[in-house]
Amino acid sequence: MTAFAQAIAQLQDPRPIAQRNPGYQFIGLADVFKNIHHVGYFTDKDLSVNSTDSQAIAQYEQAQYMLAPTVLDINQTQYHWVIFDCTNPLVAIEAIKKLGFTPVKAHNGIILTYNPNGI
Amino acid sequence: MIYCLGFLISLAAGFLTVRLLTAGRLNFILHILLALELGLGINGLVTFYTQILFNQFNRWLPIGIVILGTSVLFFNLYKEFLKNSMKLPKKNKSSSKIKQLSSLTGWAFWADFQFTPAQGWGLLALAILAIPLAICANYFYMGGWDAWSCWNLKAKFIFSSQENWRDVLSPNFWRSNTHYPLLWPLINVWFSDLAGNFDQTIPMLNSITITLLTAGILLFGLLDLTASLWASIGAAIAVTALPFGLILYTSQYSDALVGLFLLSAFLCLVLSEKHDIPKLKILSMVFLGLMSFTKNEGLVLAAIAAMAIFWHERNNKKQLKNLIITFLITALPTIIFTLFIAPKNEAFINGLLSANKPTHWTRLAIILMYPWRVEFIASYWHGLWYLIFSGIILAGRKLWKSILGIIGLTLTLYIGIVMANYAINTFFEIGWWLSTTLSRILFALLPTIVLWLGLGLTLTAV
Repeated sequence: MTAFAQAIAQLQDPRPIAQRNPGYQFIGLADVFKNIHHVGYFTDKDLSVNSTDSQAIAQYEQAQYMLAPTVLDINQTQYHWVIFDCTNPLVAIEAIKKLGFTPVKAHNGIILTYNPNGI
Repeated sequence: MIYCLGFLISLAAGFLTVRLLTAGRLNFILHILLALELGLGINGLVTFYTQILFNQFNRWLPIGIVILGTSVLFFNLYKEFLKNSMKLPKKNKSSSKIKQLSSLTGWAFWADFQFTPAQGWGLLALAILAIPLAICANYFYMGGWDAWSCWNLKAKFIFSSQENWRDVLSPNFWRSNTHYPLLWPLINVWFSDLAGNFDQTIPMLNSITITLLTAGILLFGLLDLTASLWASIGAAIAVTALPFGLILYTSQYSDALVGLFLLSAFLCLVLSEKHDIPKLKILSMVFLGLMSFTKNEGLVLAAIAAMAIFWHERNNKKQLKNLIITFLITALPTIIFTLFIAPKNEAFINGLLSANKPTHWTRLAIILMYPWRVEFIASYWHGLWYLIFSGIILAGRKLWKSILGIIGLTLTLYIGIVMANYAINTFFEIGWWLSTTLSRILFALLPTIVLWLGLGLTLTAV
């Protein structure tokens, strides 16, 4: 009975679907990336094979799902559009400055930038 | 509305194919359920062939081919029906248009079908089951992790990236199991094709359909074979309505499809012998062929089950030949995909040869102990495995004879191969890997285990 009570409690989660799924914060970018094959996904979070940061992996993979068929290339910054998803906004701003990109939009710590020399 | 249309087209395609094989001798409700399952599989296969033929998605082509094939099948079957009715003695022939129409509906809808109270209770159980399923599916609107990271991601790429669809098979997507076959995404793509856009509602609704098909086929299959209504309803509920089952079924994973195809393949095998409909074995091979295209576990399971059935049929050479041909034809997309399209499995290290990550005895000991010390006694199974093992002891030798023996042998060999894979592939840390995948492997086997056990406990001989 405890399991059923837990299941009911979970199902009654009042948060809208968008808040339960981290990928929803990327959905608006789908229009920006229309007909764009590749964009960069810059992050200082651990997305390596041995990563245990499941939150970071989930966020990246849901972003990829929301923005498909555009491919999000991890830590590749040679494209016109690069998304910054860093542990700290200061880290992201530092990297953006260093790379000479233009921030276009920021939402919930995710920053969309434009690389004028991108491909 | 569009989903209903896709549902009806799939049902029609499957209905006529099953009709072609069984000549209307199968229980009507089972016929409908197996037909819808088959129809979904046909949609996936047709979408695959059009995709590889043109190397991009072509709207209307997969739908057009299914409708055309269904129409051809309908006219051929009806022509045959008319030809047979001409052979009837004159007094049996109907001359009026009304009588002609009634003979048509009789042909299509089983004139001798008798609706029994037991079937009514079964349908009511399915209707009630649909309620928590719908609530749960709505909560897991996006599906589980593997849905958006693997299955639905592939569907989205196939549907919307035209000639770049193979991007999703590139090494960058190694976490998406790029080497896994594509049936589940392609079924969803077929419906998206009909809808004209990629809509998350489609995999969600298809996951509900697959769960109800699993419950329905298990329920009405057991009812047909054992005539035990409440045991059949109980079995269907135990498999699909536990909270853990509901979560996995609505997670939009391909494991549910593996479970459904394996159950249907073995049920058709048992029904073919019970009702003496040899062509049901052909349908059994079709389901195994489709299962091979669901995921790599499905491929291994299909190969084992097919071999076991071939061995069972070894004395009937003509039937054996037909079964082998049917299996190979239905598994052709798997063969094409595996040999020519699928990339290398990036998540594989051969622990027997690797110097960096060798397999070791402790790994093997963990694999052997984990199911007993963790999985079978886990609270989310609610004691189901205690019941299953008790049932296995009670049923005893009956489970290892004749067709039930074939099912038992398949399950045992498959679990052995899965365990060997856990031991040899050292890419993942074993504790984590077992904790995230073993429950799903058991979940896919559960409907067949319950059918096997149900028959072993109730039937005197199969």
